Amino acid sequence: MSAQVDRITVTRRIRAAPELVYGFFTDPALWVRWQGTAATVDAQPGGVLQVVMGPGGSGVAEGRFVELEPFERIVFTWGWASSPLSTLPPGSTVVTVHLRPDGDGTLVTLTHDSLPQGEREIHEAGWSLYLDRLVAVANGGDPGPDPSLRGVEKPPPRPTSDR
Amino acid sequence: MVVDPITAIAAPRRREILRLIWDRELRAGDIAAALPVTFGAVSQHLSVLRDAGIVDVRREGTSRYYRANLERIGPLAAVLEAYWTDALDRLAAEAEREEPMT
Repeated sequence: MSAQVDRITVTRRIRAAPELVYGFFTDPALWVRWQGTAATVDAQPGGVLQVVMGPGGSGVAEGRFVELEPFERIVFTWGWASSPLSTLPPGSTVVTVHLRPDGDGTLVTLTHDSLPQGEREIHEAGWSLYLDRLVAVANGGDPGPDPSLRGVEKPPPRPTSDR
Repeated sequence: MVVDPITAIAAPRRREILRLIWDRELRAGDIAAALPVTFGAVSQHLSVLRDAGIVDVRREGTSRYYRANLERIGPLAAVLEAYWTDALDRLAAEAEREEPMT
């Protein structure tokens, strides 16, 4: 078995201030607007982070907050208590979200460290999908219901907006 | 995201926040401590209010102090104040009704 580990980085620009984006990573009601169907978000160092995803709650991501620097940086551990797609143990890897003011918006850079090679692709696809949803929500839109883990395997066709 | 003032004050929680900073400055943490909401939710509401131009922020060291900008709120200020007075009147009436007859 390969011991090779890797880091993935996903970046998005959001047309909203860092203060607004920060809320989506530190409040349970705001978190589920872009990821999951239920969440425990105890945004303080050592606080629990749990996000329930997937049909019937089959995916449960778990970790703990490590560091919170208001409007600039959120660091939390990440793994899965249960998942049909990943075998990362709960809290076994580290995710860092950097927020940087960028004109009238915010540059969001999410890095996921220490991912075993076999987990890299699925997490990169997952974070890309969810940060796209975050962009839509933060821009005042509605990305629709969480496509959940099935969306990571095979993205559903985008519904056409009637706006 | 650009928000107009009416949309900004349409959310009940944002009206509560405005009321707290109507005539004084508070930090996001002070507001979160005064209401049953997270710091993250407060920072997001403040961001919307600031986008709408009806809340000012002043930085001092690493702290940010927020305060309602009554001038920018304009005619909406009277609406909000009336709303709060009505809510108080209702509360007082409620309290009187519940007072035991003696």
